[in-house]
Amino acid sequence: MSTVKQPTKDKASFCQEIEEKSHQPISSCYHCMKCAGGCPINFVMEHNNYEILRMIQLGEKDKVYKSNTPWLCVGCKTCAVRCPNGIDTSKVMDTIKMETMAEDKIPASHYNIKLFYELFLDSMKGFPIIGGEGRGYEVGLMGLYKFCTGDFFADMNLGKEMTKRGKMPFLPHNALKRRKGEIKKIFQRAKEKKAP
Amino acid sequence: MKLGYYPGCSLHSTAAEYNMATEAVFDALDLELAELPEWNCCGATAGHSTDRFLALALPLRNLVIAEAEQQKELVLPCAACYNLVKAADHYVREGTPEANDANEELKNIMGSSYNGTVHVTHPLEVIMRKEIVGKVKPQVKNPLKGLKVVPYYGCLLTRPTYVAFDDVEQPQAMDQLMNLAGADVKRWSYKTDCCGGSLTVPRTDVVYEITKKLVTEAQRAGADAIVTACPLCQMTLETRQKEIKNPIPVFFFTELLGISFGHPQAKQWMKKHIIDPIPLLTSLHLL
Repeated sequence: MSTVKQPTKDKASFCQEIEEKSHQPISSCYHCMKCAGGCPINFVMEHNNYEILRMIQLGEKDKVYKSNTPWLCVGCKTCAVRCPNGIDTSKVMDTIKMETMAEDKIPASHYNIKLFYELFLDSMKGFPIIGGEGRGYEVGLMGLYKFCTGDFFADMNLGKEMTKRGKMPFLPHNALKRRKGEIKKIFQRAKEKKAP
Repeated sequence: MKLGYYPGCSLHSTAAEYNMATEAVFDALDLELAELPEWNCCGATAGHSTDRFLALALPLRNLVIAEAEQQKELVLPCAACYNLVKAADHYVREGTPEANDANEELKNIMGSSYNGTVHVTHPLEVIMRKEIVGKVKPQVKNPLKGLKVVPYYGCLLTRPTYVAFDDVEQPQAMDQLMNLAGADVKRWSYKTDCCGGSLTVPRTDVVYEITKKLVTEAQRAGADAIVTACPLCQMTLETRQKEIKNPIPVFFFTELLGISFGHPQAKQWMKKHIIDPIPLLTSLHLL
């Protein structure tokens, strides 16, 4: 008698859904662990990347959503070039991040990572009065991040050193002239596409 | 030769010295860089982690402008920007439904879409071309004698395979260039390990650990400095050496080329570093 875990029918549909959204053949993973062997972040991950793939195969959605692994994945693609089955695990992790965001099920311990990503993109839309549409703006991003997390003292000295060397312009670049508004429109379309 | 140039946000701020050095080295090699007008941020990790549409539309917009400017090649010195723009170009050429959709949306917003005609490239790939790399050696007036370095490629320059212009596991381009510049290139096993850059703000603790490992290994290999081709690797490695007893500077490869060319502005680039490289360079009489 086999003791290997098999997914039930409705649980298999979770795997299918993530496969379709990530365009990765998750079901062909046979856990050779090459991805985990090369992963530079696995020392802080709750689950190795192949374990996440196995959990998806088994339809263990809650467990996958609660894991810190997708949020700590930095997308370095070491797994992608080493997988014998052509699975880019980092794309699966991105998909899990997007799904947990859409279902509002982000583990509280990883909220800051999500917050940083959201503020990074938000700052690209530009700011009232000072503008800055379309470009990264470190001072604005870090200001917002500190305001939202309440952690005002982290990297203060580094910020000072950067400013001293002219590496952190105080005001954002206003580079969009003839094409002004295009970035805002792209973000508007992204929002509309996400709406149910 | 005239090339389109997309510096990316970092080269206008945290990696200003990379911008200056790249422009100087390209100029010395008779390559003209024409900055893409009204370019936008590629979206970086924040884009591809949170939104499928933005992950494609933001990099693609730059390629639409490049085509409108009739640029045949676009040079991106930031490995992260290079990776995302190259990937967007790849998906358009492959004709994936998501890329087609993003392209169609851009047509509505910008009046034109991207047709897949631009060669997306990195300064390292450009300089390593046969007809250009031959011009490097005659320019080396100040060989980097005694400068022990390990080349650090990081993640996004060589992976995944559709962005790679060098071997994905054992890239050589920077090793060869540094040899040409006269540096003492050390071997190590961490040249393609990731620096964890995208977690440097929200999970600084994790990045301290990674940096500690990379810098310790570089020192164990006998290096006095690390050389990189990515502004995020450089910033992460220079600013997160908290637990290292004797921190080492992290150079951009174009900076070291510029120094070997005897460029008069090189000292100005060095002054922008967080870990001061000037004592090391003057002790070797290179600056």
